[in-house]
Amino acid sequence: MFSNNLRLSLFGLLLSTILSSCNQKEEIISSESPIEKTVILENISDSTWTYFSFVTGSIIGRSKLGDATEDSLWYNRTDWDIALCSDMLRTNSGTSGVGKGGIQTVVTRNFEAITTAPEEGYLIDNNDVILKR
Amino acid sequence: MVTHLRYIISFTLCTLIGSGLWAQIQRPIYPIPTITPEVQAEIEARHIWEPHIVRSSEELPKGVDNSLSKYFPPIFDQIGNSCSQASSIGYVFTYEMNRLLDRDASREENTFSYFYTWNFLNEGSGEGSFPVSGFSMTHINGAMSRTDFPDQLSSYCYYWESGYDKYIEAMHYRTKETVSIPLETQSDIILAKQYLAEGGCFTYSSYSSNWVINNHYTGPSVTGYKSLLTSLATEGAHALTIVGYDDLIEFIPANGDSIFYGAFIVVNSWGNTSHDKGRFYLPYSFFLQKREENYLSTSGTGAIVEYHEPKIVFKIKVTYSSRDDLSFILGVADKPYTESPTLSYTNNTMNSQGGNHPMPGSKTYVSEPYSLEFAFDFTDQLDKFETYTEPKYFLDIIRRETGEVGSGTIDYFSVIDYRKNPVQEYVCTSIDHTTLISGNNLFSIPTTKTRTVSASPISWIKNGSPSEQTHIVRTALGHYVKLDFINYNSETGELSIHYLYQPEGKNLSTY
Repeated sequence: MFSNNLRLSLFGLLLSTILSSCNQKEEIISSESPIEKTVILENISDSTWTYFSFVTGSIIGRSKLGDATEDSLWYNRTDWDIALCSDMLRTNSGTSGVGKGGIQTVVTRNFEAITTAPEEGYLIDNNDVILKR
Repeated sequence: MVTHLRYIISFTLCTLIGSGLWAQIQRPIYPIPTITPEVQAEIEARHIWEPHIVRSSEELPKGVDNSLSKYFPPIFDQIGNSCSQASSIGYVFTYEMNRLLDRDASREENTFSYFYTWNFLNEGSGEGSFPVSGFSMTHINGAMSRTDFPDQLSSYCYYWESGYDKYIEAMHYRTKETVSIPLETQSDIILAKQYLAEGGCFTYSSYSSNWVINNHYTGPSVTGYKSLLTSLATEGAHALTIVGYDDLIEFIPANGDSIFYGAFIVVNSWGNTSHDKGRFYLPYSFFLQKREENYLSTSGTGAIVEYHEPKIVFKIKVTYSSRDDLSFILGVADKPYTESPTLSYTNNTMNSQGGNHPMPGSKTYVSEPYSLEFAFDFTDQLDKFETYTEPKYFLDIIRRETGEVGSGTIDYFSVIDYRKNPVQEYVCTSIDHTTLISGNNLFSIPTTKTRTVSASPISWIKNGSPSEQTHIVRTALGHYVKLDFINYNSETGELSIHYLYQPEGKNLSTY
């Protein structure tokens, strides 16, 4: 009796584990699918960098403009993709981050017509952007 | 026979000189200058002088002669068609400034050069001008002393003085405002007398080429001159200075039997030997007649002067061969990264002026290089930009092709801030004998360093609106995103973005 019950319990646990693994598998598959969405970023300001991740679709954090210590901390993180402050933009690249980021523009806005990301032509961040404030 | 002829000629000359007629006969007849819109605005900018307490004629002295004051400069003989500036700057301005500062006008450094303003105004060809234009010029950039601008011996030099120190010294002595002294009615005459009795003097204009002046007046007077104008002239524009009055003067017109009492005392700029020591009486009665403005002006112009401390000064050196091609716009903006001024004005000195001469003057009198170092006072604009925390100064030299087209360079530009201790000079480092091109030549001087920050060379916003471009972003992990910035509310700080994130590969097709 005990043995049958034990077998049943073990089977249930195994089944539960398999099912649980399948759920995780589904999530992973889901996160690797393209994500298209519209997001509203709040409190974009002239004095604070707002860091954003395309993966999570959310704001990761903020740092004070001109704060070298905070800049250094954010430089070493790869959980953000772009940051905004005043009219300025950061990508996780070059002097702003250790990531593989970069950005380029299409001459006129044409979201639908862009079907492939170019191989080259990405501008990476540098220290020479004039602070206009 | 020859000796007899010489005697006659000598006698005639002596008589003419002695009577003051020589100076009158030798004077060319000048036309009335054209009243430009700028001059008209300067005329209209005058406000009618109002005394603190209006006095009746009986309360005023019977005679006043401010030309005998230590503040009044020695009588001089103007060169060329410079009468307006001779009267306004040479006499009125000099007198008023010395009165303000209690200085002795017999010292050359305490007198002001009428050539300084006239050479900006005479088109480089000896044209006439208006007194208000000289006052207007000195309202902004001050007046240069005769020590710094020595008298010309010829009217054809058309000098513009070179030297920063001369210009900065000139900036201290300014016309604060001009006043109009009406001269048409009996009450106007009394008001003008009060102006004179309170120590002022003023310039006026009239024809002058064939007026009649009796140089043997022996009637009653308080002030004792012998020259009395008895008939107005009918041609030949001239500007003169009223320095006082004498109520006892008796004037009987040639065609009348009435006696008119009282006359202003006029100082002319035809030398000390003209009229009676350069002065004559101008009966009040002429001002009470209906007349055209050209015969005898219906108002005089006085100047209220001030001693001024320049605080922001533009120092400029230009080498150029035809100066009426050039005009200078001074400007300022806040922050070192600005690319154009938010506040600017065109200086009324060296504003396409001075004719087709090199910067320092006529080629006959100056030699190459045709360089001029000068300065403009920017202090009056200070109240409009005093809140700027990081001013950036701009100089825009407009080069037009006026008449004989010139060529040249800007050699130096700096802005000197006298508010700082020690005085701070900001130098434009991008100038190195830079050739002036046709059109605008904009130079700038930031007073603070441009600050830089780590960021993308691409901005997400332009002129307050999100970029109209679609962006392709590579993420921190090397994936790709196409991204539009859609709406931005600068008041709330809300920004809408629309994007497609591709976690694998480069396919950015929209599903």
